[in-house]
Amino acid sequence: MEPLQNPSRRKALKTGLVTAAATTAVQSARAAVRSKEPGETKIVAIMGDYWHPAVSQELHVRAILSPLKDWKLYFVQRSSAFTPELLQDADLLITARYGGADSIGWSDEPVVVSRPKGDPYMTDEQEAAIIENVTKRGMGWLAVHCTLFTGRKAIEDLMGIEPILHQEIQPVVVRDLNPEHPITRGIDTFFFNLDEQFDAEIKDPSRTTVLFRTLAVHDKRDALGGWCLEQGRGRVVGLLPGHYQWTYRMPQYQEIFWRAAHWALKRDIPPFPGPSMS
Amino acid sequence: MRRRMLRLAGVAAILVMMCGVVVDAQTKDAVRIAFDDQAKRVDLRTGKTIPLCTLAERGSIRFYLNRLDRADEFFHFYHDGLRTARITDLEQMEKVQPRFAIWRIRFASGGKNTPRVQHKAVSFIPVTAEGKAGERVYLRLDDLKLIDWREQVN
Repeated sequence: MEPLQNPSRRKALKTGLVTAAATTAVQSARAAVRSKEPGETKIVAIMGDYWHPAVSQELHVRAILSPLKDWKLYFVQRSSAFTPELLQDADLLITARYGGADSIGWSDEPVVVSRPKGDPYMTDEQEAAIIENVTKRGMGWLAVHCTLFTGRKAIEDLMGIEPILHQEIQPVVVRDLNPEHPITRGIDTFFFNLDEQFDAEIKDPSRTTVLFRTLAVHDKRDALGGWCLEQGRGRVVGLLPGHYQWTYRMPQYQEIFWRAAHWALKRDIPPFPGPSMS
Repeated sequence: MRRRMLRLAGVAAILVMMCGVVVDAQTKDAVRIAFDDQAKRVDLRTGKTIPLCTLAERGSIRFYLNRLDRADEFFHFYHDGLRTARITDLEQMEKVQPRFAIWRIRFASGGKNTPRVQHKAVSFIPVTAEGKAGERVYLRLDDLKLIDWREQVN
């Protein structure tokens, strides 16, 4: 055990600098929130973690929505920047994160030797901001893949489901697409090479619309795949596929994503022109 | 004579009340279980069908992975790999998808999960509604649909 000693001036200065840097980081995360420009559709996305590749998710979501020039995507790089201030004027939120701290701490250094501890996610403040903005302000929400495993009952209630864990990663067929709903109308059965087939139980079938179901090829499990519902003034779409980049590369899923974003925003759904990246 | 009769009646009444309290305590302290509607309730050791019961003696529940002579006070489940759930950390487990051995596990900490459970069998000492403990029974875990360790309130 180290003997107790008075901190040296150098150590005190160093400690002070570290504290100041941490405080500045949080402050700068809040200050980094830019006001929405006139005519802009603001989309905030927080996607990716240890199990789910943030790089490909961001690339594909940007590509899917790229034909919409007035839609601006704000990808959150560290969870402490996912603040009420960021959400307060967002039109659409896209999440694909389970509940758990950022796997690696964020750094803006070009070369990193050691990283800071990852920011916590999801916090009470973040949970409250999502609920408030969806139900009171009418923000749309695409709750993708592992979002159902935040471990927060209020978030599950907002999604309208009780989560069920996936099993082995395997090929997954998307089927029973709802022919009546604009998000899935006219889209035929398709499959993903590999995915985690999450499942969920709908809490209130009377006000939830099933968009599609999935079938896991290896274990033949039938599961809920997509659904939507109104929550207060906002709209929520749950899309459970989305583990690997394979999923976001499927043209049919890209189209579902495109349509779901428009539906959650209460906008007319234009034909999907196809992404700029395939 | 009358006084003796009254005394005897009083003692009998107290004994009956005490028995009632003991029975009530035993059943209240028990772990609540529920059989699956499709359960055959065949004891894996004796091959005999066991009677329906809704209570198990607290502390008597054990899980078995591959062998009935190796009792575990935990079970394994698949999440991002094999994980372990200890009975002491559990509040409740409720079967969700029998075909895939998927249970909703609620932890005393407030957390929950709905994974596939790896352990295949369970044993416990059944407790009758009268609070009487029976012989230990060994069953397929799939024969049950609920194990509820929470204290019973009412």
